[in-house]
Amino acid sequence: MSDPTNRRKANSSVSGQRKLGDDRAVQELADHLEDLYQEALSRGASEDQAREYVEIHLGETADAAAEVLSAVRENLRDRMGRWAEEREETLRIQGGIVSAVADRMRDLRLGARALARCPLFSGVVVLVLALGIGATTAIFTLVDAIVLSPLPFHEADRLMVIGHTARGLGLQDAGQCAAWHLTYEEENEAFEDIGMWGTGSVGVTGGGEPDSVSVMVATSGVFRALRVSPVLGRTFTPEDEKPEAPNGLLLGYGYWKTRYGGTPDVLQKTLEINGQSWEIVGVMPATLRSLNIEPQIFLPIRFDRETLFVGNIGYDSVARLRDGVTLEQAVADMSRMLPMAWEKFPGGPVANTNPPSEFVPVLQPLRDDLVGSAANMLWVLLGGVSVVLLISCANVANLFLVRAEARETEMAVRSAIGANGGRVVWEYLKESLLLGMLGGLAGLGLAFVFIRILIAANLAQLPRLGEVSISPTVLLFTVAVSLGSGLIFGTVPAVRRGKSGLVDTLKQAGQSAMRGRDRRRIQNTLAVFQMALTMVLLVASGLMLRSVWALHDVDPGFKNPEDVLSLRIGIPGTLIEDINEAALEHETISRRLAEIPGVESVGMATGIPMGDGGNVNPFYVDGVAPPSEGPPPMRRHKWIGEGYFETMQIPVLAGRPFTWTDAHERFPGAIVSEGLARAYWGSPEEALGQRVAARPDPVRWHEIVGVVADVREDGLRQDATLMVYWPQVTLAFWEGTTEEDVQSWRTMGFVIRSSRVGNPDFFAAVQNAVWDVNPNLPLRAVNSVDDLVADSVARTSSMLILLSVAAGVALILGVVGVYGVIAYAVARRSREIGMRIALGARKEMVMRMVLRQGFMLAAIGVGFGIALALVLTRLMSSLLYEVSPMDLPTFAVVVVGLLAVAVLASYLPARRAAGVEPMEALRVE
Amino acid sequence: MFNANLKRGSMELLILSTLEDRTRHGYDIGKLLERRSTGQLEFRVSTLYTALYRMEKRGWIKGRWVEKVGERRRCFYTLTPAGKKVLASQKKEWKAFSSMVNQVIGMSHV
Repeated sequence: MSDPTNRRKANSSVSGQRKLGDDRAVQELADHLEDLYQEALSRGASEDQAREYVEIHLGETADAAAEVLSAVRENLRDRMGRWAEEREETLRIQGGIVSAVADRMRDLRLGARALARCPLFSGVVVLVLALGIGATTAIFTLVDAIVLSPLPFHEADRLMVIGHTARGLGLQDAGQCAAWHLTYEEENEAFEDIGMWGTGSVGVTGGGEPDSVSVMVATSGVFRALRVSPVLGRTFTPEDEKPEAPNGLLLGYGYWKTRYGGTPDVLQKTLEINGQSWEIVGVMPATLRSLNIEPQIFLPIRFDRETLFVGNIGYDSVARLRDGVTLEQAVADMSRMLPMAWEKFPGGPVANTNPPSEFVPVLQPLRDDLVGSAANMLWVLLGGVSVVLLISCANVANLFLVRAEARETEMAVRSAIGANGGRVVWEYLKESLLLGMLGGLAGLGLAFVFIRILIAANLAQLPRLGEVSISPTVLLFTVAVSLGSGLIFGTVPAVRRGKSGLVDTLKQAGQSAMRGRDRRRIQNTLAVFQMALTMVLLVASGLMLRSVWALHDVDPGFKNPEDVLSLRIGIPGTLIEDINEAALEHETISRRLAEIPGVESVGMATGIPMGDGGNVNPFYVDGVAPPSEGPPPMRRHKWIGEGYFETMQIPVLAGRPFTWTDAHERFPGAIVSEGLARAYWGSPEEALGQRVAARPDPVRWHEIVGVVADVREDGLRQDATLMVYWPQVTLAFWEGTTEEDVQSWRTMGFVIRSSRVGNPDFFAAVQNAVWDVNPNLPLRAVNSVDDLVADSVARTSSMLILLSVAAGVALILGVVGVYGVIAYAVARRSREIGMRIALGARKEMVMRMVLRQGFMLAAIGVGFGIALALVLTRLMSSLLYEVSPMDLPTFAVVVVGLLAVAVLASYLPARRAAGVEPMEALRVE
Repeated sequence: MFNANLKRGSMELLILSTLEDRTRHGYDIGKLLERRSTGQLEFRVSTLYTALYRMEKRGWIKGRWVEKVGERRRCFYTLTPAGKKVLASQKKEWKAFSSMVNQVIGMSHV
């Protein structure tokens, strides 16, 4: 018995007045039985005799329990208030399942009260669960909306994207062109509707400063295929596709809301586009957002069949399959039609004398095209957060084990007074399910916040973000996960109980050494489990980190992109009709930009690396015969002005760059990339003086005057592009042109190098410089080249961030798990430790003993973790860059790090063990 | 003249008296009564706890769970101010009652 001095010194924790209820009565009776047992032992009885002694009292206690419980329940009824009991009574009277439900309801209510009496325990459990469930729910919401949900179009699974590849030319994604589109539209048997579209930007003029708006150019078939109806007015019709059709445009939903306030009287108003007047004939719905674009206006594509040829490939296409037609049948139909295009629309860079057998039509479901690689990334993320959730459950299971042990004797008594196995399990489960649901509720709130953050950051440029919301599917998922978690960590203590009878339980209770041995075994298992899972997440994050590092090291081909501003300026024919004058205007703009204070250099090109604008055309080499059958090889082409390489800091490896004089004199020169030079001639020096063209003989050949370093035009993850550079203005390549026809481009990209990039007043200076030359030219696609580079690796970077956060949380939980196990082990072994110290063990030895225990636990967990990681990381290979999923250094670092952290976590308990006072430790028992 | 419940209520008086000097848990109370009565009082578990819960309901005693280091969590009972008053009055009543009975049956007060 505790004497007053002990009581003062001891750390007594008072859990507050517990209202009288079943639980307390049963617990007190259980305590009483334990005391009887101990009393017998202390009087010198053997274990068997002590057991007999208790058994004599047992019958009495069982009666007592029944008697007390009924008395208690009377009290309970009074205190709880009439209505709940009456309700339950009514249900109980009905008997059968309803009565069982009433009993469960009461149980849950009592369980809730029991939990409310332990706010710290309940609070910690709910918090840990909320984190795990919240993260899992958030990612699942993304998966549900982006990957699993069908697109918001009628029978969206019949919608296909049409593209083309060119085998052996390295063209994976050649898109669509007008000639092919019209051929398919007129000759097909497989499609109900087919449409073609492209995106870009145009200048809205005629009111103060010119404004740049995003535009989608589309045929009428796009809207028919998608089955979208306008919010106001009409969509395009085939009439709009004729060259002489009146100028009618459609407004995008967002633009209609922001610029026109969503008013219904917007029809028949006009907009001035590139100096021409267009009438608003309709407003499109918001569902088109799902196509990953949100154009502000829609313009019709107009076909002039007289001048059309197979070329200018770069559009997108969508088609709706006819009922009963499979994808394979549609592809076969397209393969049949493809050669017809050259017959219907002769001329152009790919002469119809070469059968175009190299081009192959490609059909892909629209959803796959939109979602693409995002799906893999999201599944991997979902796996990651599920691992975190499992670790959370393991942590909570540990906490429940501790709690369950306190109720062990209570459970034994319940069994003795007639509760069956299921009833006892239910006693454990009712608390865990309640906590699971509470955690799920809190997790749902957290998920809502996580989702808002993810969408706002839009780290990975995920498609279909506008459709992300917490749907009924997500709610169901959350409920399932919450209940599942509750089941998992609730059954751990229940399973552990086994079939030991009341007296065996008492026997165990009486002996401190045996008590908790089972518990320690389960705790160790849980800790090992947590370590293993944490290892997997850490390895995954490590691999992503190495990918990001590797990407960081990739040379894009140009230098110091953070000091380069890029923008596009288009000079429409309505503004300056003559192409030569338009070219001169571009040059003037370029020179004017160079005069801005702080600008080091200015360059001009049809396409900016990793930005808009890329041309693919045939490429011929003098002295190299084109293939006898099939079209000629296609390469990337750029038309550039003076200063482009200097501004982008792309090294010139041989020869010279272009000057303005080259453009003025239509100098037949060419510059090639290093890769191209090596491919054809072996070295940059050998390439100089060679002759190339974009047309077969007879043609004006261009002489290679320079070779420059390779540039990764399509992003850091892609290979360097084989590129041909032409002067800004050249004589036209295509057949049927004369010496007077020139090739130049109305839309050029400008690059400006200055340390002032990023300053808002710098951009204003740039704008003013352009408008000094021509006040009607809007600036579009203004980006720092650095941003373009970052966007090209956005997905990899964001995966790294998200996985690292998950791994961080897992690490914290895992470490807490190890700490908990070791701390508990030390507490239980304090008597043994006290004895060891009393018998002469040094403190360092004791510390080492405890640290070794922590280390062993972690080592076993890490061992399993390695095996698991080797299997699972293979699933994320497509996300990695230049690093194997079984990368040895990553694994090694994680193993060492995790073991070190686990040993650190054991340090505090080890110190406590070393500080045990032998006399106190021995006395407590 | 005396409360008919006094007889049954002697149980309550006995229990309350064990709590006069300090808090105790149920088992302790039972053992103390056994000791002080030199074995003449031995209570059934059900009687003891039923009485305890009854008195708690009336507000005479209060049960609180206490966990001490190295010991199991136990429910300790304390006398409330109301209980102290009841104890004092019951003691007085018992003294008067027992003295009266002695007087009636001609025994001298031990």
